[in-house]
Parts: sequence; structure tokens; C-alpha cells
Amino acid sequence: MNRHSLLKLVSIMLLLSMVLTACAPAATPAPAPPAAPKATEPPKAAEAPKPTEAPKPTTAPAAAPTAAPKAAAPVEVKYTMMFEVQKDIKLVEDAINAVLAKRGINIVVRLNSLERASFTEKMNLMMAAGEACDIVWVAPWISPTFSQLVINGSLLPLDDLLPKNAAALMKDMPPAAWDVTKISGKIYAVPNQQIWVKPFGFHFRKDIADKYGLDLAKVNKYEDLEPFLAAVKKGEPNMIPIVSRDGTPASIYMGETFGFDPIVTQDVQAVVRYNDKDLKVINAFETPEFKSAVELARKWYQAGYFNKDLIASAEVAAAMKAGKFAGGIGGVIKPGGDLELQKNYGLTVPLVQKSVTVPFMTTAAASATSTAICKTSKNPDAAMQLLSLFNTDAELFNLLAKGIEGKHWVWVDKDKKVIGPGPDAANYKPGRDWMVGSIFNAYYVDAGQAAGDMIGATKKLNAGSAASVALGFAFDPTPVKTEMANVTNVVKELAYPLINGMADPATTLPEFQKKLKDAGMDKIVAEAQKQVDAWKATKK
Amino acid sequence: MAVAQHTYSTNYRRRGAITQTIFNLILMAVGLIFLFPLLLVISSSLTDEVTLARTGFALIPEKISFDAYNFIRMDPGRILSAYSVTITTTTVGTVCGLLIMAMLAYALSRQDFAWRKPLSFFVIFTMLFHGGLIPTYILVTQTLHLKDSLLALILPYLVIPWYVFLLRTYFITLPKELIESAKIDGASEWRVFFQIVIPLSTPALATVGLFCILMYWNDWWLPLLYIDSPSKFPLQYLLYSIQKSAEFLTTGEASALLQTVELPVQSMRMAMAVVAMGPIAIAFLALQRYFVRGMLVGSLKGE
Repeated sequence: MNRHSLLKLVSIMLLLSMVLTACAPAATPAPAPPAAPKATEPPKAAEAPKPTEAPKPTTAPAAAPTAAPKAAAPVEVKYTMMFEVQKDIKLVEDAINAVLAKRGINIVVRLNSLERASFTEKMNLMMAAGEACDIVWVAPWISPTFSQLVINGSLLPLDDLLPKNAAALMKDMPPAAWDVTKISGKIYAVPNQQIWVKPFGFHFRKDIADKYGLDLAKVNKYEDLEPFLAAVKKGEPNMIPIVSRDGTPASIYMGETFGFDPIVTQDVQAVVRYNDKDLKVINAFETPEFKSAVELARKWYQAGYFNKDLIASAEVAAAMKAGKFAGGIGGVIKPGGDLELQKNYGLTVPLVQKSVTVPFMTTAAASATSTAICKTSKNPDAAMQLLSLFNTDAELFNLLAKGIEGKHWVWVDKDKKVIGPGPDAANYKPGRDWMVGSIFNAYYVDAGQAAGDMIGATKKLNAGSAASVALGFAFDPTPVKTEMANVTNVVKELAYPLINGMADPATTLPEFQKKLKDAGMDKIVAEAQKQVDAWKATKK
Repeated sequence: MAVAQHTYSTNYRRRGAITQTIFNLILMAVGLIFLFPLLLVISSSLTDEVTLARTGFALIPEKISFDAYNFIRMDPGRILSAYSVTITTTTVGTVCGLLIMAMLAYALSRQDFAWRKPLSFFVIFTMLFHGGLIPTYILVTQTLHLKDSLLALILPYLVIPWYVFLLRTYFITLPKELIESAKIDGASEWRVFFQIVIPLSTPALATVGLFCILMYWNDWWLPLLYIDSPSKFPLQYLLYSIQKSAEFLTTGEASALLQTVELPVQSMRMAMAVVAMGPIAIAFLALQRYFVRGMLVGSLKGE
């Protein structure tokens, strides 16, 4: 009996295969058998030299016009960035090309958007296989990182291209900013202008803040919040004053709060004090600042100002909306940030926010997002022109960042540059203005942002902040790779609970400091000092 | 089978009902442990986000809501196209792969095949060595020009050396005399293969077939490398991509840059998981008995 049904199964499978062979457009199963051995065959030496010759046919149509006079077919520029899937991206691409054509710019853009899920692999393979690309978005915090790409020779130095093709961009960019994307004296990327400082602070629901008498003017450091937190704890039995989330802690200790420039990474806190002219690299975990911060966190944790168990980051918004928490600390307090957070949380009540940090500009913050040009680019001049346009032209920037007017967004107040969602808003909303150029071109999505002059305030914050003494220095982790990995593990294991107040500093802090030493923290500090000194020497 | 079952149960009856009950209870407990996360996924997909945040995961949600499944109604195209891609690659890949692997394995199983050794070496070699990611990528995209094509999702998994040897081992256990007598009766090689060998090898074929189905159904790696257009995303990659973008937005990689975003909420992710696992769970239940039996392929002679 079993055998019978099995026979049926197999015959159905075979039948299906025949049906499929018959219906499918000849492409599917028919060429499969001959190609099969090829697919499993190890592509050895024979395949290796191909990358240099193979890309040619694909880019040939684009390459030809550069040599030809301007009137010829437009130059094609491929723009690779990292948006999640956007249904209408082709429409946006067409709209951008229509604007370019209308203005007589002989360039067409091809948007190549990769999702976060595939960005790292696809970028790595694209670069390794020598595939043609022109404009690429780069960042130091996502693999392949900006410096990896430069070291591998995947990016083109922009020093010559910039003055030739990007006059508007050169004028718009604060000159100090070029330092942050310089590697060995050459500029490899255009920093996208956004908030370049990290003023950490706190935010609370306004209704709670008012009810329990939080006077923002009187709070200049976290300790000043204590009476308010105690009152909330007492008065709202179902509410925890501060949310504590999993992953990288957002709590009292954030390096920048204490004037530390995290020149290595956010986890490996080998830091330079932002105003230390001697540029001495120190281990932040051994400073009195770190000790007092984790002691305060412990005190607050035991007083019940934090949740006992960390909450998943993805659930913070829903928990805030459900009224489980009154607010949070350790986030970047940027102009208009309270409105954004309120939207993210889906709250109807507004938030109040204040920074307790002296803001200063760091390499990490200023180079957080930038745009570069690939070495394989066949049309670097056209790519640079386009890059300049996306950074300085509000129409093109907003087209790419927010979509098409009347479709994905509509004017709410044209004079104040405020927009609202359009009828097809769901089909295009990348929500990553900071990825496609200077966000100071962006239209406001909330009238409150316009009222608060968010862009003006951010520009002022950038301009008015001191630059860290180490601005422009980028650490090369290669010589201490093992130590970096070990220290990062120790930090995750012991520093995270300390920072969140879940571990007792009296016992855990000495243990943590000892384990850090064993993991090679001192070696990293020494290496960072060596690199900082070398960098300092080249600067003068 | 029936005879075996009979002795099995009488044995137990002799040893006493208590042992049996204990064993059953233990197995039931283990079964529940396996079932629990699944039920949790289903139940949390059936509640709304705020309830989930307030009360946490619960087997019986406080408030039933089908909100999470709204994404299917709102954007059915995306999930339907992902389904059709997955079903296409799974069916075509499994059928073609099974056919090719069976033919290859059969040739390798025949002692009188002159090229048996070189061909075996060729298969074994790919089992031990492969070109690595970048050469494979260059082969697929620049030599075969399969970037953004469904074939790129099918071809790389078409012949899996391990399964070829599994089938070969099974074919070897078939009596040689059977093939010889078929030949004496005038059957061609093709006829021997399709009418004698294949029907006798159903357990092995069903096992390998199920492996292939699972492999194609659960694949997210190949689309990650080769597929660009969202309309060609298979189901697992769609889920993976949604999961990754949610992680990206919340784990602080970009926290300083974060702006107003809409997160795929927890309950919706659970709902997507339920939608994606439905059909394969049913397929698994239907094929399970072959699967279990097929696991013994190679260790036992065929029935």
C-alpha cells in the first residue's frame, strides 16, 4: 500500500516536471541539465582572470559616450545606496532623470538600492568582482566600512574631481568637514551634512514632566533628575521612569557625555578628551567619570528607576505607547528630535528633552554617513556632478529622499517647506534622508520642526560646537585585531550590565577592569596612542 | 509492518502499563516543549502590538486581533510573488535536481560503467573543494549572466554531491540480476532506469526529494547574493530582509541618524513567520513517514 502511494507521488513529480517543461518559457528547465555540471564545478584558475574583462560588455554603452561629444546619449551613473525595498523606486528614478533632462544635464541615474539584509555581501562581492559602480553610500559603522573600502582600493580619491565638478558642494560644505573623510591625506568621500555632534541627554513625556514638576532649566546633569524620578516612581505605580533596552546600552555612561572622543569604537573606549591638546589616549573604563556613572546607574536601578529586565529594542516604541515608561536617557538630543521620537513612539502627548553634554564634533559623528565614488567608475566626472547636485539641490535631494510631489508627499505649507504624506506614501518612504546627501536640503515632515527651525538650529549646533582635538583621526584596527575582538567581548559581558545598573560596581568594576587588561586593552591604548602621534605629526 | 507492530505492543503489555505511561508522558512533555515556541508564534501573531508590549508573550493572548495579518491584505502582491518564486524554484529545482542526481548516481552505481572512477572523483572533488564565494559569484554573474534571474536560485543547488552518494549507495543495494534480466528481455538502459530502478528506489528518492524541497524552500542565501528586483524575492529572503531591516533600525547601528520610521512590529513579524511556515509544515507532515524511513537508506537493504 505504501509503495503504491509512493509510486503515485513519484509519478506526480515526474508529471509535474513534464508539465513545467512544457509550460515554462523555455528558459527554465530546458537549459538546466547542460548547465548543471558547470554550476557545481569549482570555478578555478580558468575563471579568475575574467573580472577584468567581463565587466566591459555591461558598461560599454555607458563608457562610450564619455569620449563622444556632449550631445550624444546621456552618461549613465549607477547610484548604490541602502534603502529597504521601495515599491516605487523606478518611478522616482524616472522622475529624477526627467528633472536632469529638463535642466539639460546629460546624465541619467540608475538607482541600485540594496536592502540592509544584502548590503554587506552585495557590496563586498561587487567590489571584489570588479563590477562597475559609480556613486556609493559608505559609512564607518557598516561592513564593508569606509576605511576597508579605501584600503582595498575600491574608492577613487576625490581631490581632483571636487574642484572641477562640484563647485556648489565645495561652497556648501564647512571646510573642516573634509578632514573626516581624508585617509593618508586624500579625500575619499563627501560627508553627508547632518548633526555632527553627539549631545546626549534625556527625554520624558511632557504630561508626566509637568505633573511631577520637572524644571528643565534646573537640570544640568543627570543627578539633578533624581527628585523628579523619585516622584514619578512614587506617583505612578504602573510606570517605570526610564526605559533600559537591550543591545548597546543607552544610559548614563555615554563616552561623549564626559567629553571623551571615542576614537577607536563605541565599545572599545580608548578615548581622547576632546579638549586635551596633548592628545593623550586613555582607557575610559578606568576613569573616575566611568566609575561615578556606573555607581549612579546602580543606585537608580536599585531604586527602580530602570526596568529590572532589559526590553528588546524593537519593543520600546510599543511599550512607550502602552504607557509603561515615562521616558529615556542616553539618546542624542538633536533639534526637533523630540518630535521625531514622539512619532516613532506613536504618542499623542509631546515629549520634553534636554542635553546634559557639552557638544563637540568627532570623527565618528561627522563621518557617520558619506558618499563616495568607485574606482571602477567609467564616468567619475559625471558621478561627481550628480553627487554635488544631490547635496546642494533641494528638488533632486527631496525627490530621492522623499519621493514624488503629489504622489508620495504633498505640500502642507509651501512657504515653510512643510510636507505631509501623499496618496501613495506607502510606496516610497525610505526614511533615510541622511543617506542621500546633506539633510539640510530636506523638507520638514512636521510643522513643529519648521516652527523650531530645526535645520537652522542643527546648523548652528554644528557650527557652534568645538571640534574634538582628534577630529579627522581615524583608527586603523588591523594591528590589534585580536585584542579588539577580545576587549569587545569583555565589554559586552561586563560593561553593559554595569552601565545599565544591573551589576554591582563594587564587585564587578574591579573584575571588569582586570579582565580588560587580560584581554589586551593596554595594547590597544598604546597602539591608538602611536597612531594618534603619527597623525599629529603629519598634521603639523 | 503489521506483524512488527503486533509484537511491539504485546511486548509492552507484558512489561506493564506503568512503564508505558511513563514513557508516553515523557514523550508528550518533550513534544510539548517542541510545540510551545510554535504556539507562541501563532498566538502572538494573533494579538496587537500594544497588548504584546504590556503583557508580554502569552499562550492565550489577552486580546485577539488580526491586525498583524493586515499586511497581507494591504500588500498581497509582495507576499504572493514571494510565494510564487519560492514554489517555482522549489518545484523546478527539486524535480530537475532529483532527476539529474538520480541519473548521475545510477551511472556511478553501475560496476560496468567505464568512466565510473573519473566521474566519482569529479563528484567527490567538488564535495571537498570549491572555488569560494567570489569566484562562484563571478561565474554566476559574469560568465553565466544569471544575475537577477531565477535560474541563479536553482542551478547552484541542482546537484549536491552528498545526495548523489546517498542515492548511489541505495542503487548499489539493488540486485544486479534484476537489471541483467531486464536487459535480456530487451529493455534499453533508459527503460531499465525509469521502469526498474526508479520504482524500486522510492524511499531513497523521497528522502532526497524532501531534502531538496527543504533546501530550496528555506534558501535565503542565493537570493541575497544574486537577486536585485524585489519581485523576484523568495519567501525566506523576504522574511530575512524584513527581520534585518528591523534589527538595523533598532540596534543602534544607525541610532544617531535615526529618523521617523515605521518598524515592522513584533506581532506582524510573527504573522509573517506563520504565513511562511504554513505550506512547508503541511508538506513535511505529509512526507514525514517517507522521511523517517528514508533516513535509514544506506544502512538497510531496500524492502
